[in-house]
Amino acid sequence: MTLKVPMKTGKTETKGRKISEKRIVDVLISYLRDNNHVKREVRHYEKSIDVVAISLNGDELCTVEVKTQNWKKAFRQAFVNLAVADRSYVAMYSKYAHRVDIEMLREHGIGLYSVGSAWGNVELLEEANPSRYTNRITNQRIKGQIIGDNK
Amino acid sequence: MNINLRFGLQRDKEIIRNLQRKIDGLVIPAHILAYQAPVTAAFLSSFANMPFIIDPMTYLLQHSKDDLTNNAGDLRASIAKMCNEYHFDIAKKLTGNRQLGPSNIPNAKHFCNHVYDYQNSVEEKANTKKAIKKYLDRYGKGNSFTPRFIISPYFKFDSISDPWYTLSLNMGKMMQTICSEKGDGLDAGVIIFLSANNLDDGEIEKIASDYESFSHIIPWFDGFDEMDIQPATIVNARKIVSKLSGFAEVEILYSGFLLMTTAAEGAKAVSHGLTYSQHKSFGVTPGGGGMPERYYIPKFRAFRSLSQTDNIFHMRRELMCHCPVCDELLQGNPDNIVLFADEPEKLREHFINVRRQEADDMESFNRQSLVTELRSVYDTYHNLISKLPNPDAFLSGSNMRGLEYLNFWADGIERAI
Repeated sequence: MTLKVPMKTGKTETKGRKISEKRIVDVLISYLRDNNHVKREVRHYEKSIDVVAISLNGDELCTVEVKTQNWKKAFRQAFVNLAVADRSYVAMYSKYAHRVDIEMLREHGIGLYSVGSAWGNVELLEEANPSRYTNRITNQRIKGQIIGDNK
Repeated sequence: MNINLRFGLQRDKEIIRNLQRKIDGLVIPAHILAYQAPVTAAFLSSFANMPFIIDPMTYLLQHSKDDLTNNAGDLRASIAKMCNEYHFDIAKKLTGNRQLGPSNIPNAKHFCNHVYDYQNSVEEKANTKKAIKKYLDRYGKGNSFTPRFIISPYFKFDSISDPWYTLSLNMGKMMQTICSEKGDGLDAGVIIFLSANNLDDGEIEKIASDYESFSHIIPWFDGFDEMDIQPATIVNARKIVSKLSGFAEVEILYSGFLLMTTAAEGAKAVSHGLTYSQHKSFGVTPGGGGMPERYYIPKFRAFRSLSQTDNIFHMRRELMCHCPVCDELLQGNPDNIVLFADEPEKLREHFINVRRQEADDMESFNRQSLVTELRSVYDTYHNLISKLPNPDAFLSGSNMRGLEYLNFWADGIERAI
């Protein structure tokens, strides 16, 4: 048996420079922090959610899966997140956000952020619908964990 | 159909004891018995009546040194202890510069004698430590210490012209002679470690003819990954089981639901671990870190991660299981799937409950109704499931993301052999 480990650099070439997934997450978090409690790499069962943002009044939990280029991979993770989030989003590097099949995201109520490399360069291209599949127990647990951390 | 649970981890002992009425026997890997002999032997003895066999694990001798040694270059402790039971210098040979070939394996009579004695000395192993007495006093010494039969040394072969094939067969025949000479009333059984996808009908006939004198045969289909399998391979596996069942009691080593369906070809039992070991390849699985907990979704006949199961149950509630464990824990509310993460032993209990039902259902196997069911599940749920990440891609390299495997199964089960 061959153990196949996908090459994962998380970096994208742009004008001779590389943009990392981490940079996109940093820019996005800085933007979301104005109105939300925000945490990166939040444990959800066996996996981690890239970014979780909870409204300051604690009502709504949004998850964001971030990718520089591979929007399908981000979509699959965002699809899984429908079972924990009140709203689930994909965030893509702005240069490649146009590649995303918006209809597919819309069909499942998943939203889309376009994120650039500069601070504040964040645009909500598609608003997410409220998830109809939220697990209220895991949702509350994550809210409690993040709001507790931020107190 | 019987379920023989493969014992893998000492931490699973209590769960297995709780589930003992759902299973029919145990398979104990020789290196685990060697590594923690008194504890494992005492565990075996704690059952009132639990048949068992010991897998001699001799195929490990075919591996390269790198597969079997730790970072310091020493043979892994469990394998070293097992080797020392089998032959005085086999461990030394394994850590030498050259990978062992058939000619490096000890003399068949000598080797089989030691392998026999090792499998038939569980009682001695249980009595080697006073501390074990407390354990035995707690659970009582009810089980017989005698295995169902003795398994001869075996090796993986690629074709019937492979010298490893001849060696395995010779070891089996030698073990028959030794069993007869020892006069303990124990039969010799064999594990045939083969690949189901590269044998033609002539080779299958030859294997059946070569092994005709054995009454216990355990095929191990190398790397038979049920989530990534072609119909032709399924047909080959069915042919092999069918041929061997003509004269022997056949039980499959490492099996998921698909190989259970070879009950229709005469297989009497399957063995696998608690939630893992549904299939296994010759290659050594990298250790460390542990595998994530998984939930067995009965309709899919497959495991999914807990995050995916949570999602699936919320989208399609009718997929929720109604075994006693799930009825109690889920109570009809998919939100409660998270409780399995809090009590992972319940995942194993759920799986064994469902597997027991599946094994019992094999007694009334109906080929056409199963094929129809598999295709219907594919039609109903594939579109949803294909949007989720492939849970097994990391290990199997499979590109299957949804339920494509169910259609391959249906094709392989439906074809005439």
